[in-house]
Amino acid sequence: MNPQTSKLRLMRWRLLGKELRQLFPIFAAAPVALIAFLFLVPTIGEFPNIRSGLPWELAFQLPGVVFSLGAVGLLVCQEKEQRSLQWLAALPIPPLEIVWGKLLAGIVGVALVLMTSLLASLLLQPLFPVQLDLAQWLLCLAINLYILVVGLAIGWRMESTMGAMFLILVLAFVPAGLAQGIDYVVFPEPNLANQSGFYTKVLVGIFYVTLGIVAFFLVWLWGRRSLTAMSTKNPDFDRSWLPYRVSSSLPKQRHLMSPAAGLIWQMVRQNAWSLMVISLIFAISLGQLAIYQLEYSTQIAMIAALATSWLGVMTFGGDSHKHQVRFLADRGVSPATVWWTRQLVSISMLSLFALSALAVALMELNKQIEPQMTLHPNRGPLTFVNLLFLLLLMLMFLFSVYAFSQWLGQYFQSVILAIVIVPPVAISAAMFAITLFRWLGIDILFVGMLTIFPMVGTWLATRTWMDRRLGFRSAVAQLSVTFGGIAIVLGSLIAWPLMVPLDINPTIKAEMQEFQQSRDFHPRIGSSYRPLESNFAVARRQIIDEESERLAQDFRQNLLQELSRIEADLAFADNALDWSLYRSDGLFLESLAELVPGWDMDATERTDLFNRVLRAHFQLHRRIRQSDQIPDQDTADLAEIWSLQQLMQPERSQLVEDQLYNEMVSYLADDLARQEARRRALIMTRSELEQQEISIWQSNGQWVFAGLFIPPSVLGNSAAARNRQHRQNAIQLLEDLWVLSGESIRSQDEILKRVAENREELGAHYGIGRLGKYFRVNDVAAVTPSLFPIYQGRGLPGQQWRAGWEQQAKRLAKRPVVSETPTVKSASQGVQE
Amino acid sequence: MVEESDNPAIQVSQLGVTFPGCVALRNVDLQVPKGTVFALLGENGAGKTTLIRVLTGFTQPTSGQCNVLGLNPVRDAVQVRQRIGYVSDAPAMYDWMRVDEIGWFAASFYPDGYLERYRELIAGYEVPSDRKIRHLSKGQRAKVALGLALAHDPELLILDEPTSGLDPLVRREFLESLLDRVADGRTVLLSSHQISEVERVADQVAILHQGQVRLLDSLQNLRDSFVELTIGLSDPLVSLPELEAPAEVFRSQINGRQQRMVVRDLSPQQLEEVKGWNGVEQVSTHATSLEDIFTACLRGKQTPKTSG
Amino acid sequence: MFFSIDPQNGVAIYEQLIRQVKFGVAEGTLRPGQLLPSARVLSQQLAINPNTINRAFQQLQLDGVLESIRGKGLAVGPRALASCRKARQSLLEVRIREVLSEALHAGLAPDEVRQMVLKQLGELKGKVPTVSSTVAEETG
Repeated sequence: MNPQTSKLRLMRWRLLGKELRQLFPIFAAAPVALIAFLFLVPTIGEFPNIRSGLPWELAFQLPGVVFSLGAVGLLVCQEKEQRSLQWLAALPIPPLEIVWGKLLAGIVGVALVLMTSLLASLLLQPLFPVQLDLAQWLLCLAINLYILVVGLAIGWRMESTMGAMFLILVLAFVPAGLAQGIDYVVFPEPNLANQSGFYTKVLVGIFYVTLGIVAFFLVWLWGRRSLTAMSTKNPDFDRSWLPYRVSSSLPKQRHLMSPAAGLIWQMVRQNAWSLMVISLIFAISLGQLAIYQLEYSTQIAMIAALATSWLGVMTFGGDSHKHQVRFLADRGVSPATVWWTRQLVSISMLSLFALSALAVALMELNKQIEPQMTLHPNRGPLTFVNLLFLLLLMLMFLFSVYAFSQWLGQYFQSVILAIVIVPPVAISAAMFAITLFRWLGIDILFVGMLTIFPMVGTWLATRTWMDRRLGFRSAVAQLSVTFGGIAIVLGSLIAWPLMVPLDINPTIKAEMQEFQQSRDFHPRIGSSYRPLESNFAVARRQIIDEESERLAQDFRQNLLQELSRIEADLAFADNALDWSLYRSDGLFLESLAELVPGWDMDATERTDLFNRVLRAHFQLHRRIRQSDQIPDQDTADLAEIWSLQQLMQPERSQLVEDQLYNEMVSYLADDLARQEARRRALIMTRSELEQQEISIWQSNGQWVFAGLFIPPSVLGNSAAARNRQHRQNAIQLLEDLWVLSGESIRSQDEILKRVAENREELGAHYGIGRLGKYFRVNDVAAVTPSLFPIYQGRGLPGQQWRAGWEQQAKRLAKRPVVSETPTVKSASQGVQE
Repeated sequence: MVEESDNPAIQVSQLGVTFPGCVALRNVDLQVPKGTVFALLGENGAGKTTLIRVLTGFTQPTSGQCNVLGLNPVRDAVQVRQRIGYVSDAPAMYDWMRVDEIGWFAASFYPDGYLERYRELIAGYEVPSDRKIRHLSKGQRAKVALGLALAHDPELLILDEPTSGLDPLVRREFLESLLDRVADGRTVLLSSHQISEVERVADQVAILHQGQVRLLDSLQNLRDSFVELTIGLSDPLVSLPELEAPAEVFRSQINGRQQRMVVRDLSPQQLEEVKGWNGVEQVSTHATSLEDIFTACLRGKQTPKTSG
Repeated sequence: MFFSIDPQNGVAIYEQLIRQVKFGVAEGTLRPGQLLPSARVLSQQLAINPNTINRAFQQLQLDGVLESIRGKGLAVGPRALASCRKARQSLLEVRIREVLSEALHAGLAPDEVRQMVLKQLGELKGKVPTVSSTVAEETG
């Protein structure tokens, strides 16, 4: 072998070794990031109102991204910061070797980290349920390589590290977003959803490959340029030897600043690029909030959290960087001034974001609230309060992230590492704190208290840097204050309930919890027992043993009172039915009926009570079915299904007295009356449509039109579809139903087939749904959970046999009448009471 | 004008600083009168920087007291630093600011007049005011640091090796700036390795060695009291008697038939005595430079007494 | 007038200044009534401590060589010439004494020394420029 070649080879190995050693801090940081993400996944699900959490696979794959970003920072950005490029250029290796060496080191690093993560995910399988999807891991590898190449290209060029990182993230994720946008514009018809999905993927692929190739070329071009001829345009060019010409121009007059103003100017100027980047990220988050409201609240919160974390790192980043704070210390600037001016800038930015978010949310909310809402009159103000609470919670979360980030950021000498490592750690710490508080039953708004300690920590650190450099002792002091403080607060919060044990009869406690789930529909019973989630919250009200007992007794009394109230309401036939109340009343009665058989009381009393409940329920849903004001056939359906279920359970039906039993059976078997009622509802809907009393609003993320829930399976990517689309589709569907309602109803199957033919969709079922204004689909499970969240835990009674329950009802046999009281033997016609 | 006012600019008594594992300063006593130049000499690690850090309030002394411009730097560190001008070795500056900008920024922390004086100084140093600090040469950076420290006309200037690594022209400019201040009655505490420079400008000199003050006197006294004694012997093996107090031998070297000593406070009588010693053929005296005194002090065999 | 200060030649800096001023006056470089630069300016020129310069000036004032003129600074006094010449003379005498005692100490006989001196004087005659004879003898 030619000695030159072997020498070159040796140099290459040495160079690779040097680059890999340089990456050591980020190698060490990858497991930290992994642990942070493993904390993040379960805790994100606990964030209220978040329905989609992070999958576990992502927790194992994200450290790779952290590594790639950090590698870019350490390989290129740090070289520029430490001005070691000149040293590199002086090495006796062709400059291209250096450039490719860095790329190779990055690739090797990424491969190592991903393999380790993969291995970890397999080893930790018993603990964390991870599905091994090789395609996804390969995709992850591809994305990381892409980030590496693009990052190296950008890093060679850009001065600001945070700007570079942001640009890399943008280039990594924006093409996908762009492609979706193009898809949305070019293919608005949801029918083409499947095809558009394919085109989107192709488009995205083209974007990424193109950008990757361009980036690869730029790495070669810019890397080489940085290491060879230092043109005067190169920012690293050493200008110190340039001759100085005495400038004849007078220096411009400048207005002098106060110390605080000066510090604010310095911080903003120094971090101008970073502030711009952070504002951009906040703007993206706001945009998402405007478009998706709270549907993708995870995404919105995480993007805002990333910006907040970078904001925190930036707060003191400029001071710890090269100990620049000494400039201020040497001049006797008070550490207090430094600290609060830094905080002022950052917290102002955070507040600005919070206010903007509030404004955006209010604007969106205004569009939704309809004055003539008969759906739920309480919905208006309740939603606003909910929104406010949610925003406050998000702000608390962001503030915790901010506090942790700035405290962690102070420990990093190099901002490059801090930008990459601090966000995962701070965000998962904040989520963990929030989750812990929820588990302990502490009001989440108290999380704000915890953030005081990191803030005190930064205060101590600033003072130490500037005033008395105790070195090691100060770090210990800081940590002990922070953790000591947190420990004391948490300890006292945990210890308090231990001092006041709450001892409610577990059965009753379970009942309380059952009703608590329906508190939205039954505010009086449900919400007053919300604090029962935890001992602590109740202990806060200092309930002692006797109080608990009294409470238990009170609770049952309340239930009975409520029952009486409902019976009184039903006694007045003229009462206009209030949708909110009748719905909640019905569910209340159902819950009560489930519980009463299990109550520990005199058997006769129990039976009587049960019958009272059942009778009330029967009257209620019959009235619903027959009302000509509120065409809610779906609720009536479900109520009847529930009644059927009760009657079909032998132990329950035994409790039912004969007269009631027969009435119920006759009614349930009466198909004709039912169909008549449904048609009436349909007519009502059609007339409303014609009078253009149509409103669109959104409930819990599903699109609802004129009270219609439109499931995704029917319309394609409903989340992105516009109102116009929904309107058209809904009208179309109703047209079909209207046409059909004019004809004599032969069989349900007939109807379904005809409609299906009209809509070119096979297997879709239509009928009268909630409020009688729409339909139900084949896959009931897809619709009803959103219709009736209350049933989520329980399992819909009629889920399997909803389509055929009417048949089931017919099979119920009437009881022979044995009692003295004469009862009217009803015919199979519906009995009107 | 040297004013022996009642309040010295700096007063240090029995100062001790102990870090875990090392004693940085021990029983340091010194006073810096106003309007003078006080030079602090010592090899690297002798404790000069630690002393300066105590005076500027960056380190807490473990024992003893000190007083800067009537303030206690432990308690009022921030105030002390506002009233003095402090140039540390390798001063931290905001690289991204321009020369004029950094002066304007620093002016926010000082009373009126700072910016004008700063601009004058910078123009005098011929540093381009619109260039970013990271693009300045080392000497220009040092000048900017000095300008920033002088612009508020502090009563006390503390300079910690400000000209290390700079070319002679820049060093000369530094000296001139200092002396300009002294002419106005300001005080300067200078810690330096450039002994030849110190020799020109110091009023008082303190030499630190291993955390203790080995010598503390006015430059004049030092010059007057130290002498280099060269004794020619008839026989290299002749052992000479010790010189009695108050004379102190700081260093003694033997080279062949000659013995050379650096002696302090050698009285004329003792000199005659030496001439009459057994085996002494020739005796000559030579004046010592400050550098000789410094070397003798640090490398001497005997432990000399400290004097105030 | 240009001063040259050598901090290392064994003579105190202020003493060097004093001598150079006196020599300057004696030589005629500094004329009576001529203003000396201020301590500040001198300290900048020579890079020495203004306190030292002030000390030298004070001593010179005590010796009568310089006098303070209100509003202008220090100037050479009218009667300085004589005393400076005397001072120069005594300084030179000290130096000659040193040379002679060195010669004697080396073992030369007084006659040999005298011969050397005469020889040197002869060789130097006419070759060393003196203080200009156009400088008027001071009166008084």
